Amino acid sequence: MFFTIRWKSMIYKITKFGWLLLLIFIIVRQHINAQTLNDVEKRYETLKSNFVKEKLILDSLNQSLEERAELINEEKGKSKPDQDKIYKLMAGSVTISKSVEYQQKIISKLEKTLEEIKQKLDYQYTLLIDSLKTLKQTAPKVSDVRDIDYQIISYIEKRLLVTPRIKQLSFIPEKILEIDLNKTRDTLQKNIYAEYLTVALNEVNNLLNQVNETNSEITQIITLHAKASKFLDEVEFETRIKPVGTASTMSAPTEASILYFDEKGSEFRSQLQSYVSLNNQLNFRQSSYISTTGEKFFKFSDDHVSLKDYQELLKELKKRLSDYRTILSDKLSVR
Amino acid sequence: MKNNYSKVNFTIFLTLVFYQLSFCQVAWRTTVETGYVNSSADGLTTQEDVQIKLDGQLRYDYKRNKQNASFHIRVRPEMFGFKDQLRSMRLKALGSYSYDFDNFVGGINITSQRHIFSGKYIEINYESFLLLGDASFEIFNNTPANTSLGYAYQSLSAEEQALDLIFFDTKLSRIINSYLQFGYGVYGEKFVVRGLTRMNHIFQKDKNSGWRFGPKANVSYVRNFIFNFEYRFLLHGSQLTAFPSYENWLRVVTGKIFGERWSVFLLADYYTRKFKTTNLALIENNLLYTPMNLENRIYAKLGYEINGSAEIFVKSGYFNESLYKNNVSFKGWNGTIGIEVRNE
Repeated sequence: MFFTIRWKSMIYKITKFGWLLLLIFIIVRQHINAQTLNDVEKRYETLKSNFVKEKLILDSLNQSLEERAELINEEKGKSKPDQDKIYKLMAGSVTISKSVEYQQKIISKLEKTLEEIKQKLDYQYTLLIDSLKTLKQTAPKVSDVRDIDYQIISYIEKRLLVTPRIKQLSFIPEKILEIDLNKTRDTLQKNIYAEYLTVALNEVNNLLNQVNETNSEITQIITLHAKASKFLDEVEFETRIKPVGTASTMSAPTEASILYFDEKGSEFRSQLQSYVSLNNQLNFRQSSYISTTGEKFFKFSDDHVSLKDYQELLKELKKRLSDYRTILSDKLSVR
Repeated sequence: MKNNYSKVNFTIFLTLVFYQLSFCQVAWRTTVETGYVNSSADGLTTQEDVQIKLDGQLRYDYKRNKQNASFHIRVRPEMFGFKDQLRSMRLKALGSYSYDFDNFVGGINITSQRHIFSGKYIEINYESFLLLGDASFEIFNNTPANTSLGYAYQSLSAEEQALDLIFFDTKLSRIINSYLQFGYGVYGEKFVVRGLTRMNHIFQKDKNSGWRFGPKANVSYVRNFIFNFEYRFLLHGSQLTAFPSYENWLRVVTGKIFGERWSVFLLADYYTRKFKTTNLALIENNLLYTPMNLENRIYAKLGYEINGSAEIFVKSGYFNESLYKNNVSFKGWNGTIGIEVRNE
């Protein structure tokens, strides 16, 4: 009896304080998330400027290394080369070469940190854009909607700047962001810019259609596999035990989760290669992509890709292209 | 009053904790199904009656970097008719863990299943357990492989019979193109069947040990529709059988999605065996083998997705299962209509 009362009392205390702690935790977490955006942006700018400086140092070191190599070759090319001079030049080159290696390490480290920060920023901008879109639906005044739209566009622009360039596109995304038809007074220049934006918009629309088509095919394959597995599971569970030897620790049979390419090169492989090339700007590295939430969701090799990962890739690509379309449409609307 | 407050708080606290920690990783599915069943099995069940089924599933998935783990429980109560009060309860629990090494994916899986079938005149308890280790890797370029090694146990209370087996299953797949694959491999098993035998009206414990081994092949295609064909040929050797004894099993699964909401699927299983026996007295007493999961059947399902989380469907199937007693079969057909609601 005594034990029961103490136990109940403990539950009461735990829940009372635990409840409060949890509430505080949620509020603080939201607050921290909101506060850090400026800090992250500042850190990104600082690191970017550091990166440029360190890159300059590396270029300069490489240049002096090349100069020394030329001098060594020049000396060696002489009929009577000065061995002492060659030795001194080579000794100096070794020191520079070590500095180059050290500098490359610094740059690699900076690149990695920059990538991580870009992903953080991308994630935070996405959250803000999504929140603003939700807010827009409940905005009471037209002027509020306009303000929100302006903020959305501004964050989309910022988000595009932290994602690398789409190499497959014929236009330069950063240049697109710089174009403002309102500020252009020259009619000819305005028409040229408008034409440039229209071509870019058509290109993005075509790419979006292609991505949508592939996405619907991949989604159909995934759905077919999922529904077939479910149907099989239902029938087997309804009758008797699952056939021994067919159970697996993988969430689905291999055939169901992986899309393989044949040796000659399938339609999917060429599509994937084209999308991967298009998605180099989306931080899809050679073999994997670390998402903004920190989870690895894209992995492929020369001969296969996970269907779910491919779908995630297409989803991400759709989002990025839609962003470009929004910006381009917005810029063209003021003509 | 204080206690009530404590209980409410405790519930809210737990709900919030689970919401924060794991809500997104939990999926559930529930199904209600009713229809008509016609079956016969030498008096084991009714001939024709109404069938009502409920099915509930809960799944927890954990995925982090290279690790995948899941826990799955399923409960399925069923009622066959009102006259004979036949009831069935199926329970299943499954836990699995896999790790993605750079060169291969390896994992372990534990499955436990129980089926209680009860009525006025019968009470059957069926249990099974499976422990499996498997790996998925690539031997050559464009040749993925799957291999598994496991232990399984299944028992049937009505006949006091149990089966233990250790098996290995391996398969290589040849990629024809992104949509078409051809697979081939081997399956091998060492088994022991334990049960009661009757000699001169006296029951005694006995056993029969043996093996099954043979090749298997499959073809799978998926693009606008899905088509899977599997075939397995097993040679069978035991204390009660002589060479040549063998089994054939083939399966076809096909399906298609129409528009965005309609789907249709078909499953056909065909199983035959030819056992050359050595001891007829023992065979009559049920120690030959218990391929309880191998039956002839055709099932079809037509589904309509109401929205992303609900589906209504119509299912129909014919089954004809050869039980361990060679001269007894459990067969019939059913047709049901149901609705599935899920959060996945």
